[in-house]
Amino acid sequence: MILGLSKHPSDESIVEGILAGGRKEHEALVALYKKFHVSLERFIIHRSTGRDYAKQPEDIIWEAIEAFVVNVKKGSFTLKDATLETYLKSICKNLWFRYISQEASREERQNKYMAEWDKLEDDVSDMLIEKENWENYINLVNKLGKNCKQILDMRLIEGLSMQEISQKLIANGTFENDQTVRNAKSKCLKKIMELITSNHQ
Amino acid sequence: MDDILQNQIEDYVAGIMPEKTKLEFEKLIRNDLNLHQQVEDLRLVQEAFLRAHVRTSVANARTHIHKPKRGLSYILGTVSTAAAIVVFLLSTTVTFSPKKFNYRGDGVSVSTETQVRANDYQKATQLLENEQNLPEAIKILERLKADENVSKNFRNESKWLLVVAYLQVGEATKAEKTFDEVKWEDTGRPFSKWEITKIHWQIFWGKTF
Repeated sequence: MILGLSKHPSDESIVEGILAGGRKEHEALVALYKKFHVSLERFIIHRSTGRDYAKQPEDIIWEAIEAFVVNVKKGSFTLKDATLETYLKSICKNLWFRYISQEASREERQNKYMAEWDKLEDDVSDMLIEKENWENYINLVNKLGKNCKQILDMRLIEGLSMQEISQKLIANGTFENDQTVRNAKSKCLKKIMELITSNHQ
Repeated sequence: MDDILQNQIEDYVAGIMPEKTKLEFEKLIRNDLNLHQQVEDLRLVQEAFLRAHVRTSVANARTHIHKPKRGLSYILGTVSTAAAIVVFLLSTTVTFSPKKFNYRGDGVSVSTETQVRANDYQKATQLLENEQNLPEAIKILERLKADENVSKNFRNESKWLLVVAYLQVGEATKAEKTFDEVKWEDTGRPFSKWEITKIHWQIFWGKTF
């Protein structure tokens, strides 16, 4: 067990846990939050205006964790780039300024926040620009049936071959034979591709 | 599109294509715009799945972090809190409500001695209720308790009040002795298990310290 070694897991063990998936990923996420939430919350509060926003620092922290995990899984974050805390703070800062600049009046935006907005790091800003699009795509994925999601998860995320997927799904009684699994995969993939590519701008 | 090509695109995007095949396939992608587009579309779908998966994982972690604790520390914490509450309640002053005896007769004439005793009883209960001059209250109640001219009912009630008075002044041994006399007698007092436990508890700690 990667994280069971210590109450204070290292950045490396957290990243390893996220990449391992399953139970270890869950433990890594819990450890990540416990390790950094106090400093991240302080960091965000220090940059807040005192106004009462619908979104709280806690929400921003979890959004930042989500963005961070996506980057780890895509391979676009490595510990060579920055320490975990620095990277998370960078994402929090971007998410927070983006949020309050949306909430603030045009005048406030111009006077106060746009100056900060200009300073945002390019790498995470790019990610945020497409945030709304991804929200739509995630909703489309979540609208798929359970079997569709399971097959495509196995194929595209877990990287299993069609033969391995068939074996698993026939063994647990979800499908009767290899051909029905292949047909289901083709149908599901066609459906989600149409939905996503037609929404893609 | 044939199944073989579709499988190749999926293997390539999922990152499970053998290295040698991958190099050849990348050559094909570079030379075929249509194939390139298909790969990009599938990458988009793959990332949408990845993000949906991450969102679920993060939501589960968040729920886990914020759900009420049910572990050993939670159980120990709850038990300790409950124990602390019970100890606190056991340590509070024993409550009593003095009985109203109809010794003045309400129209029936009573002797002067009886009237004096009734007045003494009333004075003692008032002192006890207000926690004022407890030695005086004890003195009166001890006298009433020992007076054989006093009715049994009246004497038992005086004993009960004496237990309370002794506990209030820290005379645990005397409280215990008097309580042992009164608790098995028919005083008309609603001695609940809680009241008895509370008195025993206070006697125990009074004697210990």
